[in-house]
Amino acid sequence: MSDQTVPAIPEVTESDAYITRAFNAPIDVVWKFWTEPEGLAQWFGPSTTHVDPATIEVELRPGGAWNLDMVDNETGAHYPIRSTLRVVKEREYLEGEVYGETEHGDVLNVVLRVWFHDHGDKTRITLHQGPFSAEFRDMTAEGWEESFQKIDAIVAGAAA
Amino acid sequence: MFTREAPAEDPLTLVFSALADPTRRAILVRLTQGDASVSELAGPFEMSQPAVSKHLRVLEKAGLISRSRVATSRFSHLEPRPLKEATRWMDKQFWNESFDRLDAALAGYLENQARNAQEEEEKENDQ
Repeated sequence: MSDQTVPAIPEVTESDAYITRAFNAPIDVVWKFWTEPEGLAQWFGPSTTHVDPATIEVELRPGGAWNLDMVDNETGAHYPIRSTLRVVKEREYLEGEVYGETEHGDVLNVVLRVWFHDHGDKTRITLHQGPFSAEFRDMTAEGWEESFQKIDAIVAGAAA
Repeated sequence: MFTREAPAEDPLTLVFSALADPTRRAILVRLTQGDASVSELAGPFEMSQPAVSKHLRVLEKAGLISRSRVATSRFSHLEPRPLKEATRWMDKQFWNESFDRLDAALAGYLENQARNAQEEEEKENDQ
């Protein structure tokens, strides 16, 4: 099931992360850095990590993979990010379900939506991460444990 | 009046220091099953009730639980909002740091592209 339409940017709810930011590069370059392994390897993940280039896998189609491993710069621990793309609109919109794996188990399990806005020499990205209102589930026991595992992983990374 | 430094009582700081302790995280996970009294919480942790009470005070101060009294027992109740706010904050940190790196990568790429274009031009002029 894949509805290949670009949704309107949603209203922000308290459980979502919402970020918009302009980049000094044309849209085809920014798109490349999101969708080509050589590009992705250069930036994805917090500053204390890097991407293992050998683990990057991008299949730019609905149902395709968008995978990579983040590696902790200090400890070398791998944090795999595994995603399934749901909507791919070239130079316009990407949507995927993201699963993170850590030594503590699977974390994240969120929907990531990224809009690309063409402004000539500049590109604006609007990113929304979280369950949309329709998909929103109350914090179940499982939801809490996921959050704790995520906190554990981040605390472990920061302490390393 | 306005300092850049976060005050010690900053809500997010309270939440993260409360969550930094594995026993307190385990107490929260237990409370996802339903409200519990101090003695019910002390049981699985092999801890004295005063020790559990101390942890509960930290959790309460962070807003992660609320407590009510039924007869002689105090029951703890999970409050999900601060944890949601903490995870949202972490998600934003993740992307802001990634985007800083993307910024730098894009700048490097465009610089390289411009240099290559210039070299091409110089080569053509030489011919």
